[in-house]
Amino acid sequence: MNDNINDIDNAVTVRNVYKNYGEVEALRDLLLDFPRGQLTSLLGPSGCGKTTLLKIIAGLLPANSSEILVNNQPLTGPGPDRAFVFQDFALLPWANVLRNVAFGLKLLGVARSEREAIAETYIGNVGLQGFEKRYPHELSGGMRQRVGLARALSVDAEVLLLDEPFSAVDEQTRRKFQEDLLHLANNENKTFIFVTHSIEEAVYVSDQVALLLARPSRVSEIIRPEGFRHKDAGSIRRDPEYLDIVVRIWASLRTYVE
Amino acid sequence: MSCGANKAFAWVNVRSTQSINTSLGIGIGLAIGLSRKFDWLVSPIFVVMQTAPLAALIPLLVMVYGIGLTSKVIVVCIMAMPVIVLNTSGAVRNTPASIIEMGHAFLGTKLDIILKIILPAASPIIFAGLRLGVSAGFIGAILSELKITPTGVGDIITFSRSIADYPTMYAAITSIIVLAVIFLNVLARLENYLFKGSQQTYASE
Ligand SMILES: Nc1ncnc2c1ncn2[C@@H]1O[C@H](COP(=O)(O)OP(=O)(O)OP(=O)(O)O)[C@@H](O)[C@H]1O
Ligand SMILES: [Mg+2]
Repeated sequence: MNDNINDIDNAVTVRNVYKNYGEVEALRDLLLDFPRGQLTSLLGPSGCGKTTLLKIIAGLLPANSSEILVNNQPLTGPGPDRAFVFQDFALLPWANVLRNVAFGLKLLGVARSEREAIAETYIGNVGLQGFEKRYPHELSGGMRQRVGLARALSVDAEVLLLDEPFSAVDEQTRRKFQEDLLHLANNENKTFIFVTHSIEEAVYVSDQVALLLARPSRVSEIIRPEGFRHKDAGSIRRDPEYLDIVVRIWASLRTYVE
Repeated sequence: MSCGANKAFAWVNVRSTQSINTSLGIGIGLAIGLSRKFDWLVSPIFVVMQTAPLAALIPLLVMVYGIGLTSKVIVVCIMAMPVIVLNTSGAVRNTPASIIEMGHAFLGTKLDIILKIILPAASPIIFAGLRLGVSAGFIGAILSELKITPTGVGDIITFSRSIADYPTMYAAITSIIVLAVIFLNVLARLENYLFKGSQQTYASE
């Protein structure tokens, strides 16, 4: 595989990112690359600044200082090349599923019939067909999360930023979602940046796992689970390399828990 | 007699004042909710207006603005505006930060975010304020007719009471109530038409 960083085409490069919230130093001199077309997980103890980093990349939060390139262009703010899936869904409670999914396209000025046709497709892709006319309060947490995912997919951004997208669902659904995500990552030629608390989940879906240290946060280690990427979804969890990596990451992280 | 025409005239005024209150009140409330500076500058006025004992202010208003329409319009405004403005600004300020952030993430302009996110999100509370404000405005209208100049429905009520013409008095009172109810009903329909489903609770919380 290609280990030379300079040869890899990166969708997003993050250099020298510092972020303070008043006295609290959240990120210090953070450096990380997100190779195009790959899925990178951010894994780290709670409160270490994963959401902060994701929002900085999304252009929603200003860093104290940063050198961030998105498609080799300096980051200036939110852009059509990035779409965000929010941890708390951020759905419009007065709009039904169809209008929620189409909302991103509406803000881009896509005509109604066109945006609804696109939204319809992605509603199908995330398995919500038949629920177009339902309102968010009529859906389960997992279904709401899928609405958020469909909304992000429908604007067809190259980079998808997912903030703990599976935290609101039960374990069975979560496993299903993980398989779906793996499928999505393989089929759509998109770059995924994925925040999670689950070591198993990170190793299962990622091309690259970035371990973040406790605050002030930097990347302590980058792990690339490559040996089992080509395997089918069902047999990954039995792969020795998968199990090895899970144990290794836990060994790194447990020092911060203790 | 010109009484009928006069009455109709007065009520048209009340209603146009109510519409002015509505749009201006929402506008000011929106500005207060969106801008800290404007809030600092303007909201004390409405807090004072809301707490001021109106009956005591009326002589003052008459002294300044005379016994004409201006004073009456002001009385209606003092009654109706504060609750509309303060409700609107509170609702605007309480729009969940996460859906505003979502609007930014999906490249909404400032106007997009106000029109497509903040206003619909605030609309249930804005309309609750409108209902209260409009009712208060009717009280202000009657009060001004009773206290400032004997015209319109207020005059009919006082006059018919003084000559013991009770049927007319009751008719006048009933007509006010009916008008107020119709107005509130129209408001409720408008709300339903504009923001179907917005009465739902915040599902994302
Ligand atoms: N708006 C804010 N004001 C002040 N401090 C903040 C703010 N947002 C985050 N922080 C602090 O910055 C640190 C990083 O927060 P962040 O939300 O990025 O963590 P996280 O890694 O996403 O945590 P979790 O895994 O629990 O979601 C935390 O210690 C938090 O207390
Ligand atoms: Mg977080």
